[in-house]
Amino acid sequence: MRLELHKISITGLELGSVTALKGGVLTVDEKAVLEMLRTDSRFAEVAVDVARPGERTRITPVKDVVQPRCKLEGPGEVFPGFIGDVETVGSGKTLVLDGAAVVTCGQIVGFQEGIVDMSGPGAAYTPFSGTFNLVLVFTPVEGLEKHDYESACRTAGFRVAHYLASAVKTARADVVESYELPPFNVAMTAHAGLPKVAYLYMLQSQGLLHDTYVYGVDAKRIIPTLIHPNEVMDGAIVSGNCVSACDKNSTFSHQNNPVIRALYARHGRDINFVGCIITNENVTLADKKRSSSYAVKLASMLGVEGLIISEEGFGNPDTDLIMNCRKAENSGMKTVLITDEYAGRDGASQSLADACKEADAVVTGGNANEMILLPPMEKVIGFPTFVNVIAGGYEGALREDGSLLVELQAITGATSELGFSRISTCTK
Amino acid sequence: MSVNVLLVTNNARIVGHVSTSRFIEGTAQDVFVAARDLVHQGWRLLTHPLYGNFRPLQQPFRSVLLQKPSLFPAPVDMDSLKLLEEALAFHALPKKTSVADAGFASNTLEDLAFLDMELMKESLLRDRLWIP
Repeated sequence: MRLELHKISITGLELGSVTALKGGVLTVDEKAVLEMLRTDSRFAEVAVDVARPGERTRITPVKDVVQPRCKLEGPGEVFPGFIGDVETVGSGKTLVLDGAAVVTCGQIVGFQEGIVDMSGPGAAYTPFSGTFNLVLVFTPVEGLEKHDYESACRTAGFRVAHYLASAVKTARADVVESYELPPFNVAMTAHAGLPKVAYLYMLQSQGLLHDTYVYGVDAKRIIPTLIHPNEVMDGAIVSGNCVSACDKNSTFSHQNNPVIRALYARHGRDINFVGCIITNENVTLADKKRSSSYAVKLASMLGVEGLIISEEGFGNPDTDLIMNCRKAENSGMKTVLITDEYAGRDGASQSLADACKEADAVVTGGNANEMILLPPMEKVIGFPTFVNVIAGGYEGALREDGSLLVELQAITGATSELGFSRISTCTK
Repeated sequence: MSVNVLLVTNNARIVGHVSTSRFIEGTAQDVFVAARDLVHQGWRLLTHPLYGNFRPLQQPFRSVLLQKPSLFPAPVDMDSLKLLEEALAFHALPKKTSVADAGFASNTLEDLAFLDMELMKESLLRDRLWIP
């Protein structure tokens, strides 16, 4: 399966009367976007705004972030199960508006989360301070059931992201990247001498506001299965998860999963990257046992020597992470875990709710409990008063001058367990 | 609902949706301790006690589903015990006497109770234990 990503570099974003691209500046037909979204009767009100890198703007509470993409060639359409049909994606050509993002903002329950600061000290902690953001703010009709509200916000982000890319699909790409893995009969004998490595991709799947969808299917209903990494780039995995902003995997971070990109980059050089297995993080212990055993069985069937495992969230999923690790190691695979930490404000507490001796190679996305003071911004898009009760905020977090004292947990993507971050460190 | 399954919870909102429950008027820690007492008697956990991406101060409601052993005396299920001990360690914070002391606004508490119920409902529906 071969996929070409045709990337157009977006260097500016404006609202206007027609959606068009000129010299890297994307102009968005505000009226067209509003009319499209107002066809959804679940919204009483929709507002559109723009936030650019470096501006003194705060967006909160962020529900999801989506990268504008659409298919240029090949079967299916991006975000299968939500846009167009459910045809298999991941081959052909896909247009990417690189540097642009659609940010959805809504107040689904009384406690909310997700801060994106476009400048100041908080900006370094979120990858979405570096993108030109079209922000959609949703107010539901009175009495709308919370599942419906969440679904409406989620789907609206995909529709607008797809619309933006589709509206400029005749534009010429600045960069074309290609991604290809051979079928298994070839992969199994390719790159002699290099270790076979697979990626075990854990998806949040606990329930309302904690869900992920694969081709439109609720991930808690699946048993672990194989997915081609190119399908992920075409939006086969999307986020319905918006609790714990720092370590939720937004749709944008799924589309640009850095673990997949890194495995591709080292494929044929250091490793033989043979594929990707998705699994879930359900609440019942029977599901945890079933999914971890089944996922490791799939990895064993591929004959891999190494398994990269990324987690999403914390607490309950720590148990899934450790089950996956232990079972893989006991089956003879070397594992590397990617997680984040809740080690207390001084970093001295136990980082994860579960652990095992086999977990001896672990990458951390950072300590979500670390405090940060976010200065006041000139402009706030969304519903700022809810910062007091977001995950990572607390009563009194929003000060009179508009500044915020919060834990990193409140910042969208701050401790990404995919490593989709602007801050990193390395040891040599 | 099977009499072999019991929901231990401090969330009053969920109690009417299961036929066998034990309501704990107290904190999350009190729920875990009550569940742990049952585990010491041979009951097994069916759900993970730390479901939902909330830290202890963010979600005062907790519900735990347990299965009664078919025969007594039954051995202690060490996996269940370990998960509850880990949950208690995770919640080892200054003890509050009730959910009302947690300092949440009433509408926020309602939403937290709703979300707790929704996350548990997924498991109850799966085992046909949910009463609409």
